[in-house]
Amino acid sequence: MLVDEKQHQWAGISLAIFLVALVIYLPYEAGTGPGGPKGKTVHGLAFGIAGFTLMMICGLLGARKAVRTWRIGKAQSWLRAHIWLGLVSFPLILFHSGFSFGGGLLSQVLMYLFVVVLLSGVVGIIIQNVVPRILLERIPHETIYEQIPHVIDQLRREGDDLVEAICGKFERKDTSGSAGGLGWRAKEEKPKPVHAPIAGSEKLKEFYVDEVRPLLYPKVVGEAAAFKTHSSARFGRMRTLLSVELHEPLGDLEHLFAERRELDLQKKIHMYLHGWLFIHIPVAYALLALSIVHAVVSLYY
Amino acid sequence: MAIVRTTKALAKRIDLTYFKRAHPLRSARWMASLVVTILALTWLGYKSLDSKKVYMNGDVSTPHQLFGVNCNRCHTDWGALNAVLEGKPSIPDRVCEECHVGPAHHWKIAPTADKAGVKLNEPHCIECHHEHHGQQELAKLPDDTCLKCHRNLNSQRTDGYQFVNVSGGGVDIRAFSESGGHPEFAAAMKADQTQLRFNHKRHLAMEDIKSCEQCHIPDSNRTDMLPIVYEKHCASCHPVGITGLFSSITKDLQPKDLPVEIRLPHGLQPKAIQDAVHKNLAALVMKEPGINSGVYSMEKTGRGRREKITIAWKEMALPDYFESQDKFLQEQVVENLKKVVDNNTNGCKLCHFVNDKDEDILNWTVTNTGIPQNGEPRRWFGHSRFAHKPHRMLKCIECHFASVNGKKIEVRDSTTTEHLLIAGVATCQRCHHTGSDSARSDCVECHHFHSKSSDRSLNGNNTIERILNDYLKGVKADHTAKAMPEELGDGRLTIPVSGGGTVSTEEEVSPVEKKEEPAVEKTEEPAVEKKEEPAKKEPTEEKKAEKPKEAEADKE
Repeated sequence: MLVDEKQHQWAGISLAIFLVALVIYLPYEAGTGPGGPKGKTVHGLAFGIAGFTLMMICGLLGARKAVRTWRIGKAQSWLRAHIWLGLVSFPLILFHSGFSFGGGLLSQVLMYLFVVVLLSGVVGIIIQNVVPRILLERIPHETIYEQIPHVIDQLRREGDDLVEAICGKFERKDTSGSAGGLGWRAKEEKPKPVHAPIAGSEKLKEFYVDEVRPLLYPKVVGEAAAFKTHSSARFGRMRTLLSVELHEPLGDLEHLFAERRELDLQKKIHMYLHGWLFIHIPVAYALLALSIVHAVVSLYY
Repeated sequence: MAIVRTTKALAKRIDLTYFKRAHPLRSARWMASLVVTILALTWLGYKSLDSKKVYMNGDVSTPHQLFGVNCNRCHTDWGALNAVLEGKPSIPDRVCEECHVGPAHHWKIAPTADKAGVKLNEPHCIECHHEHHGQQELAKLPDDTCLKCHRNLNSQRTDGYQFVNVSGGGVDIRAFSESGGHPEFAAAMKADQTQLRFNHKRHLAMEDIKSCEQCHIPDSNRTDMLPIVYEKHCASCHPVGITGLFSSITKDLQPKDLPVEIRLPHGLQPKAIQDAVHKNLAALVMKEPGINSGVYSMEKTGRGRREKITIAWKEMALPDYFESQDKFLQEQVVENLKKVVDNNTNGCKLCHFVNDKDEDILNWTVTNTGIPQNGEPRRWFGHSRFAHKPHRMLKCIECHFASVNGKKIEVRDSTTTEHLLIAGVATCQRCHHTGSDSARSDCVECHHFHSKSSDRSLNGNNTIERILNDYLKGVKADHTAKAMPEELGDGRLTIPVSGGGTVSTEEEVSPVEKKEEPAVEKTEEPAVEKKEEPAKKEPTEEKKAEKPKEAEADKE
């Protein structure tokens, strides 16, 4: 979610909510007796209800995304509302507690959970505004994240076809087009004609089968990264060993391998891009669940 | 042969069924959310298994720890919600008043309550006393509590009295510091109204008086100073008595064993002094009939002129003798009464103010000093308490001096009783101010909210069994009972107890506290209505029932 002019509407609404709350809070705080504002006063309760309502609205984003068929505004609008209403809910909760992080254990836990949710959300917004640019610059062959294993399988098949066409047939243990870890199967393809191997191409086949092909599987990540450090040297050494007419297919293999490495990098960056959600979302749901308990218990006693 | 990616080949790179499968990261996030939420609720459930502390805003104060885990002892069902909706305190005052009387804030305020027992003109208990803040003392209130109403003292006065700031301006109290706006002590601004002439300078110049503590003796708590008592502190140097008896009689006629001095009791008015003098002299005259034998001058009329004839008592007829004796006694009484009362050097007038407007000395009155005669300490700060003990590291004269027209007068230079010799607020503020390098300066350090004179007696209304059964086992308090102790009109209060019925209390008001508050008004509030003294108390029904038992026990 880029922070751009599309945010103006929800930013304005949130700012208005904040200002109204502030105008109510300041005289309330000034007129409050010892110990400052409390959550159980009329004002404190009103701030608590308002803040909790906004938190619940923010929490509904997950439901809206889970049920895509709901026609209640665009998911993008929900996300914008989530960001801004989430931000403004924090000062409302601070008004509710009188800027106190103390109190009971549950209240303390709730406040600290809220801080974690808020900070992880802010960090997420920053990441989502910075990382996509890096992705665009460094991953020219970027693909859909879920398609990465499938694309790696495609790269391997392209490599296999290339080497078979030049070096002759070799045993493919996974010619059926296994997509590796995800386990789906590509559509059956017609067998391609195999030409006679070019003289001196044995070394190319050996190099591909032994060193390059094992790394063209989706699950192999660490070895591909390790190979990256000296892949140029290896391909360069092979170039000296092979005849000139084999240099072009060797270059194609090197290109395939570079593309595979980019996909690895994309996966890594994708984790940075969305990893914060592993903190933000679980903690947010725990916060909502505990907040409900807190509200009920506080009003009961 | 180079790799050629046709449109068809590129299209195959996309698995069109991917959206039908669960996104691995998204699934992991949902799973993590579920686990974390369940863990959080499990933690909460586990924490609330043995106590409800996790829901509390904080630990209850030490005195309430006994029933601190029994929320229902104080809280009602949906009490907080109803409190907001109905504008009432979430903890009714009645709950606190089960154990604490919570006397009115000021003795001038007569507590009133509506039909439901909710106080109308007094703050509710929980407005000032905030429970669930840990081990802090509930009575130790932050200054904000007091300043909420007392920040501008003058705006609340209806009697015309105006407090004055040290700097001379209005009163806008923010803290007890030089710039905090606390007004000057009323005691420090007024002259001592004690009707007595006392000269510290003259007394401190005497060799026998070496320290303040020779006369100023603290009470058993070392909080206040006991009042000066004539018999203990003054009588040795300033006896009340008659000296120079029968000085008008020639020495040869005076009895040989005539006492040098006759001591009289202290604290008498002239008429009583006359009686005492008469009694003592009469005893002497009766005992020594010769005293008046040679001095009585009978006026006789002879030859057209008056002349004095001295007649020996033996020569007198009996009626004349008695007349002469009585007349002689009367003359001696008048003469000696004047010596005692109308005497600026060693009589009453040395120390006391005497109303001597009347010609007849017997109609004169010695003005009451105003010093308590019950032996209880006299307190000068009407609305606050000062304790000497915590200040025992200081020399007395550090705080005891007078300021007259801005000039400091030390105790040893004070020549008049009008010098109260109590330091002003600025002296206190030298140590008590805001900041880390300060002694405590909270309002409640010196000022007490509740009128302690109305506090409950030590005879409470609970039993150990009830405490153990009701308080600890989660029995709910009876929140529907009347919230305010009911005045019976005879000084006793009825306090509703859970389970029905009431318990009446006997309020033993100590003489000290009885005296204390009227003294306040004398010092600070010259024109205010006086508190109605509680009627003489009668023993409660319980006490009455106990008395016959005690009598029976005595017989046995």
